[in-house]
Amino acid sequence: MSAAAGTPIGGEVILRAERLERRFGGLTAVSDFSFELREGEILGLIGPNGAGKSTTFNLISGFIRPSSGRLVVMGHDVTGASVRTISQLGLVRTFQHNSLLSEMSVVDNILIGTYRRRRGHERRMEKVREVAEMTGLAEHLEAIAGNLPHGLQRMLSIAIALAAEPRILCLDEPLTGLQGAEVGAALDLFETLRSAHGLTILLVEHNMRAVMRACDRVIVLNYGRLLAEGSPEAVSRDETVIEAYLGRGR
Amino acid sequence: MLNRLSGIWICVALATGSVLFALLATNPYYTSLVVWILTNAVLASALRFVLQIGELNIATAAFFGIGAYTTAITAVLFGWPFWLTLVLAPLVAAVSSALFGWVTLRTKGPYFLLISFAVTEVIRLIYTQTNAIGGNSGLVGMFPPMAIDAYYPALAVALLAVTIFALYGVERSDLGRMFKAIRNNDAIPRSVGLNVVFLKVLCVVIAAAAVGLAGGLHAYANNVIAPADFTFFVAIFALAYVKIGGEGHPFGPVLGAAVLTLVGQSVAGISAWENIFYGAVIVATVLAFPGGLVGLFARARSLVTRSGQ
Amino acid sequence: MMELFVQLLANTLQIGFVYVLFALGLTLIFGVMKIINFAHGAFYTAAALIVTSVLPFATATLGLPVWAGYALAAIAALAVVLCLGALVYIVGFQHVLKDLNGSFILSIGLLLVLNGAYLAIYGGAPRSVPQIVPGTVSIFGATLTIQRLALVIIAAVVTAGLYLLIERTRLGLALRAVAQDQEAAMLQGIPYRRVALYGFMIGAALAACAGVLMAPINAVTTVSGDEFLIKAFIIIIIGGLGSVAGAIVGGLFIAMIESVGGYFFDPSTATLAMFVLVIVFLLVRPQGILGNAE
Repeated sequence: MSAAAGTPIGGEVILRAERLERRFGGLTAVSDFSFELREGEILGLIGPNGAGKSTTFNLISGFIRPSSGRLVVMGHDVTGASVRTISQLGLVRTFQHNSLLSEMSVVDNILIGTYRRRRGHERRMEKVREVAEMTGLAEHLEAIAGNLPHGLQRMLSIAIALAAEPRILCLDEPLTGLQGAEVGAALDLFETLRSAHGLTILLVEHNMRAVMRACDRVIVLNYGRLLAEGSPEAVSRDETVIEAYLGRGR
Repeated sequence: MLNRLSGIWICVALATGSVLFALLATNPYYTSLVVWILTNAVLASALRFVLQIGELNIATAAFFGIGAYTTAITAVLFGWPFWLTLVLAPLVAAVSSALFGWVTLRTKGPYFLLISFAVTEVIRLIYTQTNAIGGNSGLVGMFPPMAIDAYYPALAVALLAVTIFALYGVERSDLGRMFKAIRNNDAIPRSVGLNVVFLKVLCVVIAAAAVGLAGGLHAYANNVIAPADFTFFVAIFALAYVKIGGEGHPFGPVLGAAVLTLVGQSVAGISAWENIFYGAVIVATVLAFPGGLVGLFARARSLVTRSGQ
Repeated sequence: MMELFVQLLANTLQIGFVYVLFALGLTLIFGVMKIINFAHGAFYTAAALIVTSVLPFATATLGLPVWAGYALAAIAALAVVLCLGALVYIVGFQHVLKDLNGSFILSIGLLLVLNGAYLAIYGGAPRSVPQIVPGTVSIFGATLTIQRLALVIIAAVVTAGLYLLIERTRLGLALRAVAQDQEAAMLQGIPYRRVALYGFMIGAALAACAGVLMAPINAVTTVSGDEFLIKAFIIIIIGGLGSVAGAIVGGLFIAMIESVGGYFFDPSTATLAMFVLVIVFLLVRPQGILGNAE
């Protein structure tokens, strides 16, 4: 690590990954990876392609189990726990690909998110309308998810996660394919979620300008290892980081 | 598609009509035919029900048999009361399907298909090997009590119709929505904390209870059951009813069961051509009419409404 | 004791290699097209039935010696089945590639049509073929008919030939590539549909070989192939869906259970044991002995 750690924004540590490691056969996707997530912060996770960002996401959300290391969420040791357990604690993630129920309506998509936490159709629909309003989908409730324009599809995948009333929102490349104003709107949404709703956000993104603007802190992964950590400005000037991105040509 | 509410009333009318027919018709051939059609409709509906989670469950045939054998064993070997033997059929089928599902639904696609196939055959082989329950010859002597014997077909038809409506009810509920989500992309319900394995098992259990009841009713309707009644072909024919009637709508399997059972009656006895007929219809449906009869009606209807404008 | 062992081994081999040929076709089709062909047995049945009609024709009408008539019948059967396979693929399966449920349903329809056709053409009575090669041979005290010995050898040669085709030829490489990662294979320029067609035809031909080789052994009915089908499913599950080596290992393993089980118990118990075994397998190691995990 070569960048100075950014001044921590936010409160308590609500997620701690300790020396996470994940091997697939002979390949080590993530190695000795430790980081903390503080309540109320927006943390960016960046790195060149193949750096292990998706694997990290899968590890902290319970979709795959770590080969070694420890994961603590909200003070509970959830190393190796199921997706259900971890989401029950309030950590919900979105997906980079196949992120929706494409054959079902927008309403049904968001409703699926509400089933765990809310009882009764009325209360669930209340949440659906609230979330749809926040993500700009209020006009499209009856549309079939797969027919939505790309930008709205991305918002829908966030909406589904929001419907589950998370405390930690893990977004896997939410800005991919978004154009101009859509990016700004999404970033505004993240800020609103953090400041007005008290969410903590972990963001994997390739869009560097967005990362710079939205994130309080940034972690850089390369070849499955932590490369740098700190404020967006510090990390963007870090030479090892620059080299990792540029030196990735084959 | 038909306006939903009017569609339901039409189905209720059809169901009521069937019950009345079973009650009033004097020719036992016709009454047993109606029961047989409704039985096939339940089998097909239950198969389609599990297709909601994207799995093709050949073991539907096994649970039909388990229901039938439960009723037959408790009625003939234990001498228990009629209503109890019928209530036990869906219960035992449900419990055994829960065990089956919990163990097998962790596999998917081709593996689940083949294992459900294998389980059906194993169970059938166990029937043939167990002399206490009649071995290859099966069990005989399941008669409804004298008092209701004359009304039995109507009772059976009513219960079968109610079962189909119940399956429809679940499909339209939140549970049905969760099943659909699992089929569409099971990572999403997982990510928001739903217990996908449990839900898949629940889906299989509900379908198994439905066919279990149908099996119990079948035992009394036929008065005799044998292992040969419960081969995987039962599920294959149910699949044909679903495909031909139309997978996209809950009425599809019912329509398919009715049409094919009736047509099958007239083609019956000419074994080679019966096979060719069924087979050709299935092939044609998969390749040319994937929506089945229901799909054809929908297309015809939209052509009509469009031309009327 | 030695006699018993050799006898059981001989029984195992002679059922085993036919199972292997049958299962190889099924697993190849799954590997390349990711579908389960429920009508696979119909190719077997067609070949066996054709042998039962061409052989008498060749010996009686053409006056050929039995072995030549048999060879002619074999060629005829293979030719017909290859055409049938191509037809079935082009008209049907190529539209449902990789759609498991859709292709399964299609194959069921196909099976019914073909079974009906066989019944209409040949009738329901079992048909048999006169003995091709007379005589028996004694190995370590166990008796084998020369005919069956020849069967085992031919089947082994065919199996070896297929293995070489898969491992050493360009077509085999294409088949393996497509089975492993269809999109990557297409990016490399491999014409998926054409490769799938060849794979399907090879699979059908293998089933036909099994049918041709078994016709002199067992009486043939219109459902002969279907009886093999269930065992073939078990074999490819145990060996691994899509694995050629697995089909070979699985086929011999199942044959062993059948011959040993059939000898010490009875055929039904042996079949029951097989089913229970496959269920356990699916739960513990769904990818089979040699398959790849999903």
